[in-house]
Amino acid sequence: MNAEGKKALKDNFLVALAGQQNAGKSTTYNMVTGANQHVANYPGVTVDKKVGSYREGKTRYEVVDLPGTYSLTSFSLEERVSREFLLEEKPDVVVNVMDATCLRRSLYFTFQVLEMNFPVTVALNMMDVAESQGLSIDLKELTKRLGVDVVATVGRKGKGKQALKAAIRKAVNQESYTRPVVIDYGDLEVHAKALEEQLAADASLGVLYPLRWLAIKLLENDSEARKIVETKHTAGKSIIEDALSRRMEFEDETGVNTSDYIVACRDRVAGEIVDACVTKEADSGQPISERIDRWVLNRALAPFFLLATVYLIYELSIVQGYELTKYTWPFLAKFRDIVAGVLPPAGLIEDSLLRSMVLWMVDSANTLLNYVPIFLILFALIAILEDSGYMARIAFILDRIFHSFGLHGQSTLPFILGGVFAGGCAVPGIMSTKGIPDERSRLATILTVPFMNCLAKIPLYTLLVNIYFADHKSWAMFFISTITIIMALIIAKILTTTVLKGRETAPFIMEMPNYHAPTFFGVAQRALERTWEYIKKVGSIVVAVSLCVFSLLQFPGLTDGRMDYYETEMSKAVATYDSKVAGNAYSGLATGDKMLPLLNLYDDYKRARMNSSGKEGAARVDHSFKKANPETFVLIKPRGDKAAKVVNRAVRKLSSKRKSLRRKIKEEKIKTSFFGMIGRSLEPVTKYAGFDWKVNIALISSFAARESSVATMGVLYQQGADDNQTLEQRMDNESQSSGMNSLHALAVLLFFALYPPCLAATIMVKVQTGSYKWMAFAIFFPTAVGFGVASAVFTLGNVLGASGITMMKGFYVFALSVALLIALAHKIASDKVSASYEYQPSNQ
Amino acid sequence: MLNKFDFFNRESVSVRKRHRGAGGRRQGKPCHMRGKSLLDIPIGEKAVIRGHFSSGAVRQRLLDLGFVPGREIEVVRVATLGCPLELRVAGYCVTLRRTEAYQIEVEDER
Repeated sequence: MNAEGKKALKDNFLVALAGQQNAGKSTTYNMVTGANQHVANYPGVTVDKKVGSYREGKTRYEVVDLPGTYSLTSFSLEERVSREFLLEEKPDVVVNVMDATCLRRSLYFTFQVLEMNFPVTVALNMMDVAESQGLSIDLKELTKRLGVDVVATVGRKGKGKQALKAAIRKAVNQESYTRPVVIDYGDLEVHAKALEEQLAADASLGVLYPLRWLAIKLLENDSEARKIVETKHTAGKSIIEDALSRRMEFEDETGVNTSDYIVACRDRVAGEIVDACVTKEADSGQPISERIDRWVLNRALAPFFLLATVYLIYELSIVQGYELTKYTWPFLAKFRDIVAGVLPPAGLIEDSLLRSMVLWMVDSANTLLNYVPIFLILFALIAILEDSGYMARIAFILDRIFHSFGLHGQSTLPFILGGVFAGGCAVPGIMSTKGIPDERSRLATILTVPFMNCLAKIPLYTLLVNIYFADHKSWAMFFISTITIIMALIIAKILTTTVLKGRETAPFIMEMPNYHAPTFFGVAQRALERTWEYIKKVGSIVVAVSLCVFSLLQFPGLTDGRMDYYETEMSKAVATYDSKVAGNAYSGLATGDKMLPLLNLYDDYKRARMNSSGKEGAARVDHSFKKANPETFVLIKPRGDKAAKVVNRAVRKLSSKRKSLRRKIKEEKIKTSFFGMIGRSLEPVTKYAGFDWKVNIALISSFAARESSVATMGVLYQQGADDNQTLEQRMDNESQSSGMNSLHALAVLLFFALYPPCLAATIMVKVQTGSYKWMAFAIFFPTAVGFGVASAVFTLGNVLGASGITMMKGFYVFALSVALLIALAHKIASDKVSASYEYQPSNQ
Repeated sequence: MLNKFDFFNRESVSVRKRHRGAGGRRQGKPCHMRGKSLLDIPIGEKAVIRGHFSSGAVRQRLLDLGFVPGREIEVVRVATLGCPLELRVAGYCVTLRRTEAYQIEVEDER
């Protein structure tokens, strides 16, 4: 009665959602909880914990989505997590989501949950697919046989939601259960009963764990069950010994492996249930999936379909997405203008710290947000690939190649997201390694995804290629886009045979899902979710780090003497300006206190005109500036007004002088900043790779965000900026005088390609590996490799007197041969293994 | 074996060692004593599973996926480079590498 009373008072129930992979657990979860959910991690491990809730009157149901597992043994992390959750948290009801199309297999899982004595409700999902396959399932019979409620659902269409909720309500309020199905283990029953009795000797254990379940797990020789008994039972050691000897005894008697026998018993019961409940219509030919696969997975045609798919992804997301950014960029530029308007106005030659800092942060965030349209498209396409079932097929096609290098077929997705050939981002790439079941390959993938060509690496590539490899542009771009994947494979092999050698590895056992038509909402939701995660995670980090970089570049700043010098230079220019404007009709509006606002207005106007497009846009800018500054606008855009023209000319001159002074200050500041000091102090080492201090700074600052490499270079290579030269021309001029040639450029390119992930990506490494050690490793290892490769190529090229392009070809051939050798060695080794297993009928 | 490069993973190595010692299929069973493996089945043909030579997680996963002795199994296709195989068991498809496929013993369907 007491327990009953407690139950009636309880108004918060814990519902665990469990089931096998691909059974539609997540759709069922979304169906039940709606939007009310959040994702966390299970304590101590990097497995997602999705928690949501719904209310029925005063009662609150908290739903936890357990990771999808095929069974509840202790072999994989997901299984351990699910099992531990069930045992520790003791949910009020376990909702077992089953795939109606493979009922027999799904039942294994149900049996395991039932054996653990949980109140179970079965959600029989994918009923529509089962019907289309000609399967009809007798729900009443299934309910009777299992002894638990069975609800038919179609998660994707939200069918069966109310029935499922009703079943959950019934299950949690039930005082006693009709005894659900019990599996008869035949000859093992004797041993199981004996073990159960021994376990019952310690009364406390029975409260915590179902004893029959423990007894059977001991017979299965399950490591976690052994640990439980060993630590929680007074006579734990002897019981385990006994279980082992019983196991051996059974095997000697029957010649059957105990674990196999247990599975076979479950399979027999499952078979009986399926035979009783499922009727299949006469075979209606081959299923659609098989008919599609006959073409798509055809041995000869598969690579072409794969290439076409990858090409389509690039064309749609990178090329077309880039077009989209033309429409979104003006909004970001406007945002910057609004922020700039709120901040204190610009000073004559030096801005207030607040202004320059906030604008720096906004600029960093803007470069990042500029990619959002590209990522939206990219993520939507990836979601379509995943939902349709083609992603698993890509893994199937490519597993052989990846496996040769210690990776896994499912490393494909992270590499595609990271930007195999060009364009992508390591952050979502690393995020998507979650699905790889093989721990060793997963880590190797996480560590090599940053080698891919992310979108932000492209500007520096194009810059260097345009300057130094102008005659071999296409060849150089081909080199860059393929060398990264080759190097990533080689490095993955090196990592998996050294540091990662001891990691758990898992075989490639993957269920090939049927093709599904992806739903619009499913795709849109996933695309938005991932993009938002990108914006959130990267946004906060990049903004924080851009602050650090800002201070490293800003301080200690110029000496007072140098500052005085620039100030006198500026006041000289102002004096010239004053003398020109003096006596002018507009001098009242343009001199004294009015001078600086006018100058700023002029610059703002210039920038606004630059950002506007077409005649209409220009007219709109004119209009809005005229409206805001009715008096002074004529000085900015004098139309036939002679006096205004004179002022305008003077303002223009002053503005350009101011700009050039500002630039010089900025450059000098960088040179003397902490970053500058670091760059200079690294020169003795980096000279082996041909990097001077400017390149050093650019490369270091690109750690915060790749884009800044070009921006920093832009600041550093400023001589001649007044002549309206592009950065390329300036760098060209500069490098000719400093002796930089294509060999230097190649070294920079190689270093940049193998360079550690940017800060946002390193944070992702921490999130996905759950360890700071790996994060540190992900920073230092690629730095060492990149620097080693760059130095080797540069030094060798110098010794041989070879040009950049020759060394590029040489290095490419070298890397490609190493990769091919590794693949060949792996093939020979695996053939050897297969030869040793060879079946020879004559021997029998 | 403790890998001297594996400075991050000392603990889990020792855990695995313990597992191996305590049970599971006895290692080193002579391989040439066995009959046909899945690899001896031509593409498109069917066979019946007789037993497994794999151990631990692989064995468990295969059993979970329905690779139960006595079941009929069909080799559907192999990937372009010949490695993962696609198998149909109990009405759905599962992919395996050759290394795992060797370890499934089968007999021809009668």
